[in-house]
Amino acid sequence: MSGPVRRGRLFRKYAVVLFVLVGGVLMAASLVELYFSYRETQRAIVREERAKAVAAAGRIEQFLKEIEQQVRETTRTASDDPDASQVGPGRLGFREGLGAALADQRALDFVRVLRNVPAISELSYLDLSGREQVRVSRLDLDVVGSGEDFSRAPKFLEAKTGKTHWSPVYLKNESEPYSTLSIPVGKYAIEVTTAEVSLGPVQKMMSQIEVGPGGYAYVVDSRDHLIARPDGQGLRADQDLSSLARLRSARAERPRSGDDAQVTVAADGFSGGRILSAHAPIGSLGWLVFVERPAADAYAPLRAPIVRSGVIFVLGLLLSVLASLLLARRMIAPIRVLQEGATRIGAGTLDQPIQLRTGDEIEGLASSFNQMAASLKESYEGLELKVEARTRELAEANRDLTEALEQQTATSEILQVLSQSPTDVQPVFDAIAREAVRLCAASYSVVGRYDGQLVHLAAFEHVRPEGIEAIKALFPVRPSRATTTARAVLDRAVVHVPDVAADPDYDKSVALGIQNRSTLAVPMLLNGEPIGTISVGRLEPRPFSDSQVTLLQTFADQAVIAIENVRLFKELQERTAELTRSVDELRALGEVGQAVSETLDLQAVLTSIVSHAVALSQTDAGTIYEFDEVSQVFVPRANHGIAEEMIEALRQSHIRLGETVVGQAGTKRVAVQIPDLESAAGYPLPFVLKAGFRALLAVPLLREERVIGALVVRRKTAGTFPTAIVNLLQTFATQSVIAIQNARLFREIDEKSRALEELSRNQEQLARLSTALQEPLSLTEQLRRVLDAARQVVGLDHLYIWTPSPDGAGLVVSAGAGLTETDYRPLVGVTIPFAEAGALAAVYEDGEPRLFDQANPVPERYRLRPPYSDIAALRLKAFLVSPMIARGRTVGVLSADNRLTHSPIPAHTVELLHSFAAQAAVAVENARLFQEIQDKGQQLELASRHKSQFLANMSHELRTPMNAVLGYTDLVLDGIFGDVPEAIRDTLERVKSNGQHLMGLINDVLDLSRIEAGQLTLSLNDYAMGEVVHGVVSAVESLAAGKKLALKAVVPIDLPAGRGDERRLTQVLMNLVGNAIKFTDVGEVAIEARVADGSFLVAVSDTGPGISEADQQRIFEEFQQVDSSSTRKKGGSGLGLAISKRIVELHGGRLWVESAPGQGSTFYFTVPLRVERTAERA
Amino acid sequence: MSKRVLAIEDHEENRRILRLLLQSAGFEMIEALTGEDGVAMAEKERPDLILMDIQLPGLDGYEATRRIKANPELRHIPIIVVTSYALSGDDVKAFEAGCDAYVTKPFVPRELLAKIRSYLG
Repeated sequence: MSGPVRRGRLFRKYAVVLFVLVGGVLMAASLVELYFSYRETQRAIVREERAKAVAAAGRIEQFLKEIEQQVRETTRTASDDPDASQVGPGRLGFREGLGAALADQRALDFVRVLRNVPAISELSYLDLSGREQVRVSRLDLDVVGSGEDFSRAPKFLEAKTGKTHWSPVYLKNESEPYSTLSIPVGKYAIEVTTAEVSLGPVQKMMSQIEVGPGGYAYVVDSRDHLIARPDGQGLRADQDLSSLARLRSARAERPRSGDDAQVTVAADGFSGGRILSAHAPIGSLGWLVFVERPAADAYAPLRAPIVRSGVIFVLGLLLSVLASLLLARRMIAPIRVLQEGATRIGAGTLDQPIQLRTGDEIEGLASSFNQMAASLKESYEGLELKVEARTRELAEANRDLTEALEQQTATSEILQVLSQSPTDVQPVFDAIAREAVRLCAASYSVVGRYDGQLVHLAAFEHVRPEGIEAIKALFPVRPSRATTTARAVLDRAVVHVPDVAADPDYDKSVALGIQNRSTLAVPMLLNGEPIGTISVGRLEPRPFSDSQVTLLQTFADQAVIAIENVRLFKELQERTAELTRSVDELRALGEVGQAVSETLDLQAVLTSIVSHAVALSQTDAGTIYEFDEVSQVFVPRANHGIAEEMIEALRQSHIRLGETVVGQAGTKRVAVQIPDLESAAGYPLPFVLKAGFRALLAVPLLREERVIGALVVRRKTAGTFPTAIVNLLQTFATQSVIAIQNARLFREIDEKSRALEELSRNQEQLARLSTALQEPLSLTEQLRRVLDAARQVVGLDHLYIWTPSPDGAGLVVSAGAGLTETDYRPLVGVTIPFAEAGALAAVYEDGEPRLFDQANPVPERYRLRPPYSDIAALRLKAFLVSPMIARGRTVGVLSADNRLTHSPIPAHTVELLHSFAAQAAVAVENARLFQEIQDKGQQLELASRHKSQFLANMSHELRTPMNAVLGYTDLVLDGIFGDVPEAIRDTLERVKSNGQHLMGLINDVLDLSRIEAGQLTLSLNDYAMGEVVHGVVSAVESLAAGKKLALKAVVPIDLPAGRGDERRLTQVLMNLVGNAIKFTDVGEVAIEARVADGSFLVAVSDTGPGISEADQQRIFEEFQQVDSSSTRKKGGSGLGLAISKRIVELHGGRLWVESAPGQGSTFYFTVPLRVERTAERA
Repeated sequence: MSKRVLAIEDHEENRRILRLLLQSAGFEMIEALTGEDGVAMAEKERPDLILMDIQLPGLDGYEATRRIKANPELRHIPIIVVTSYALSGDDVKAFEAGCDAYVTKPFVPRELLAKIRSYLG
């Protein structure tokens, strides 16, 4: 806890809160009080003002009333006579008379009034008509009967209404306010007394009002004109104040009872600053008395309360500070104690309880802390115990770990040894023996190897010197129960004998030798088979721990790995060596092969072979014999590694078939060997043994199962020749055969070539020509070649071949040799009629060759006529014509000339050319035949198409009535015509089934005809052959089951997807399987599909009667079954196979059968995996 | 009112079988012997279903089917092709012409009836 930082904060917080609380309350109280006392004071002032205003108003009213009274007094005498006053206008005359009398009286009265009332400055009397009768003034002379007309003056008019009237204030001498008072006199005939009244007394009255310093009072009349103006306020007398707000509000006010309403009138004073204003009305005059004081005056009485409040406030604050300090301290102290206690608990001091006696929640908290501390203390104590226990456990575990680590180290050491000695297992065994003793705390250790029969000693460690003999004597040992090692191998499990003395099976003599008491052995197991053991022992009876057993097992596993490693390494080495050997062999064979093919020196080849054979078979000597068919002996032809004498001895031995290894190999036609000559009794060639040879191997040289020699190798050490060597030697034997064969052939060729050389150059040319003719060339090309060859051979300038024109009207040139453009052009497209062809036509007709030259000129009858005589090629004096005869028919003529060289044509060329003519004839004839065959083929094709179309039509025509037959039958069977009696139903079923069979036939015929007509195209799609097979199987299952035949299908799962016409292929397979089931009575029908050479190969085999070779072809022809009797028996159209074969062929595949009578049949068909278009018709 | 089936079939026996079959099932059958008549009949009579032979004198069944299906007012009428042309490709041709179903002769009357019913519900 960051106690020090936070210390005092809580205290401060409390103090501030308390201070603010108390101070705030005090402040608020003071303020409220001050406010209210201010209001109270203000109200009191206003009340006072108002009282003064009211009083002033009363006085003014009194004053004015008094003046009124005084003035009215003057009028009373004049109007004593009530009647007079009641005189109407009609009696004016009387009044006038009376008036003069009264005027004096009045003037007297007026003077008296003026004397008594100083405020009145002038009095006047106005008669009924408003004329002034009397005027008494303080300032002017009295006037009587002036008659001045005031009838229009307000003072008269107002009074005439019968009311006393005060005129508005007016100023005299610019400063004195005056008002005119008009008082009516009389009741009916009203006369008026007016008085000019100075309002100075009012002014005086106002200034006498006590309104305090700064306060003032004033009066306004009903027009709001100032009557009595306040002092020192800069106002004019009679000033219009109607714009003042307070005046307007005072006018608007209704007179009310009570005065509080006017209390708070605050306004702006005339000389600025706020004022408190109060007013009071003066009677019915409409005047207003205003008393006003500056608002500040209202505060004056507040000063004392403010000071009082301030003092109380300060005192209160002080008190609150004190109180808050005290209170906060009181609250904080126990919390501090708690904090310290908690810190103590945190620090682990659990035995000092927090001492707090506050008696509140904090004390409860403290006791909770104390309880917590107590329980913490308890659990700490428990924890300590646990820690101690855990420490003990850890120490133990550490011990175990150390042990394990040690074991691991040992293991890794062994592994290191293992990795360092990949070829030798011994260091591993040694390391294991060493580590086993150390880590198992054993007295000694023994490692054994088990070879499947015996356990051999492999390594041991720390065996007492006396015990070594005992252990060595013990091994090798058979698996048994006598020792732990032998028992571990026997049991293939860990054997632990805590005390050998207590084990009844343990061999006590062994125990005596080793002097062991406790022993432990674990087997090395490879794939569950023991291959060795590791055993440890102690000289005192102390059993081995489980971890030691486990460790030893680990060692055993490692030993197994080591052994395996070494084995694999050795194997690898062997393989490598083998490979190296193979490479050597291949190289040697290559060399030999080269020798065989390159050199025809047989001796050299055979010598090379035998030397390589000896080298590669790691033998010491070898011989190749040739079998002389004439003398029937083996003659040594090539040798290696033997002395000349021995060769001679071999030559003299005259080895025959069956004699020695050579003869035996020849007889048996296999390799024959003698591993050890010494132990082979009766070996007929003692000099071989004498020369130091111990082992022999002979392989026969065979050509087409005929013995032509033998290859023998000899070794000076005894021992069996491995198969590899035998195989190798056989390869050399084959090479030798080829070499010998080659040599023979060469000899023959050599002889033949020599014979050939003797043949004439011409003959050679002929031979060449013969080959040329067999090549598939166009007729023109063939003829050209014949002519070229003839020209070279015979040595003539020009040669022509003439054949009949297509229309048979004459001869045309089919080919020429030695011709130039000029020679050839006139002949192109020209048919020479037989009648015009001269000698050519003659030869063509009689087939006799003719030679014309100077000695034998062209007879007249053969002379050509124009236009043919113009053709240079025909206009000849010396030329030769030979007929081209093939199969006794003349197909054309060959003519030749020496037109360029003019050299004579030798007589023998006639004969020579004759043979060329024959060649050309063959070519022409062949071409003709080929053409003929093609034509025939086309005709046949057409016929076949016609036939197919016919069949298609026929089949359709047949289907239509069949539809009716089957349809009616179905309708009847369906009961459309009512119930069908059983006998009729049975018959109808037969009709139906026969009808359906007929339909099947018709369908097959239609199919076949479509195929034949080339109208059947495949709908190519992707398909799965597996599904095709399974579809067929499920379709015919019941059929097979009905005949109690087993139906098998073998289809590899990984067959690739095929492309072809799935429906048609299903039809094919269905047909084959259906046939198989149909013709098989006992046994099984099996379907197998697989991929071979990029095609599906499907085989359907049965155990049926089989098909003879003669029948095997026929069954694929239309309407053929093996024999008609079976057809009758088995049903079917006999078209199925023909159709199937066609369908398979359309896929580009093949359908065939392998069978023999009594052996069952197997039908095969292949279809390419991916058929992309329908194959051409086969 | 019973459903009406138009059978376009030139073969008298087959027509008779169809007639027996349809009558036994409670359908009314009207007949046409040629493709042209069939198309005209379909236009005039507006049958509920048409059974169409393929090999017909004159206009063949493919063409008749095409014409009926080209008429927007007749297009909805299901056409079952009943034919003796049963090779691969024939059915494709029929479906290309626009038929709704394809039955080969010889048909099994029961099965044909089932097919007809599947269209006439």
